[in-house]
Amino acid sequence: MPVSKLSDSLTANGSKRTYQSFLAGNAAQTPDAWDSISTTTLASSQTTITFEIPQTYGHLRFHILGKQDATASATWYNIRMNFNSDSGSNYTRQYNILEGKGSTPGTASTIGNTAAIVAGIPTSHTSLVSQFSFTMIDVFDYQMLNKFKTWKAFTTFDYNSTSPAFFGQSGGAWSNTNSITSISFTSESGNFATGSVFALYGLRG
Amino acid sequence: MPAGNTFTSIYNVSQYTAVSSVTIANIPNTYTDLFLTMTYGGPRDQDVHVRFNSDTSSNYGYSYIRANNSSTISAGGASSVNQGIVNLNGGYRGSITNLWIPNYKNTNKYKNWFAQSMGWEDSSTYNYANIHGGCYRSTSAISSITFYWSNASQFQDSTAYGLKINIYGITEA
Repeated sequence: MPVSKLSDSLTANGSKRTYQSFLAGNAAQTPDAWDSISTTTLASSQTTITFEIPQTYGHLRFHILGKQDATASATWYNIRMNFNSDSGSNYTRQYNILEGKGSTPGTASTIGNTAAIVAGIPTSHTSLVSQFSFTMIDVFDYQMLNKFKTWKAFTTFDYNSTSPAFFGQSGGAWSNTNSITSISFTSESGNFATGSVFALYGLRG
Repeated sequence: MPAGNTFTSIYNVSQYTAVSSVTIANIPNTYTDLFLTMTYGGPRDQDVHVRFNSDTSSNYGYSYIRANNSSTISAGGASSVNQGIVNLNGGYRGSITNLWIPNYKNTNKYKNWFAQSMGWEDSSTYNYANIHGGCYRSTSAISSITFYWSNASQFQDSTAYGLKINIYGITEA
């Protein structure tokens, strides 16, 4: 017989209901606030990375060490993130990007995108051998059935040692009330390079 | 299957005696990422710097975006300097910084870091909120982290604004 029970379910309007009970005499068990769900490290270049999402958490977090596989030039490309394989024009985003010394951040808001667009990954140019970007993405309330899904992201990397580190922040929404059951990542151009790492965490709440 | 406990407290540092720098050494290489929280006080309008592995060469680049009390957003950065910045104009009395260092033990990739910080100078004038991104251009595993002020001043010694650092290790599946 279990000494504790934790069950999460959704009400009809999408709000989350948590029920926790303990048998008398047993110490309460507190589940970890963070779980590492899965990690994918690329042994070869890959076009798409897809995660099947368990429906047991409050929020999701991705840590991505990313790189694009093109070798022709030292530049960078965006990461595209799609929920539930939806490639319709259902995504919005707002971003600030810094990629030059003392620069004013590039700022824009875009609507009607076919993916959530997150900056960015450096290429595999010979001058960028050791440069991978770090991107941290939070996807909030991904199970909620009564709201559009929102996300935010931060990215930093070095793609030119004569300039400050690239730095970007962004956030956006997916105009859909469905629970997110899968998330796919693709590069804006080309493929993710060997050595790229995609780690998914679940946050209880 | 989830890996279980992924957020482990490694060190808790409380420093109530004024110090010009603080170094966390012998960081275990048993985690994937590091996450630090810092609360502290210090000199007005000075920056909190970070160095890894006591490396004083020009292997650091950083950028930042900030908001101050007049709601102006400004941004900037530096390319090849001998430290990173984790709190620009770090504040006078109460300041906080959260610092992420992913992939810190890897030996074939440069190390990126990301920080959010706030500097509170006093109740009537300055407040700063910053986000920072940076790169430590080294493929060496990070085994120590040092924080210090830009003008060699000291972290404050009062218990109210004394330096506190919590370090967590994050484990991937």
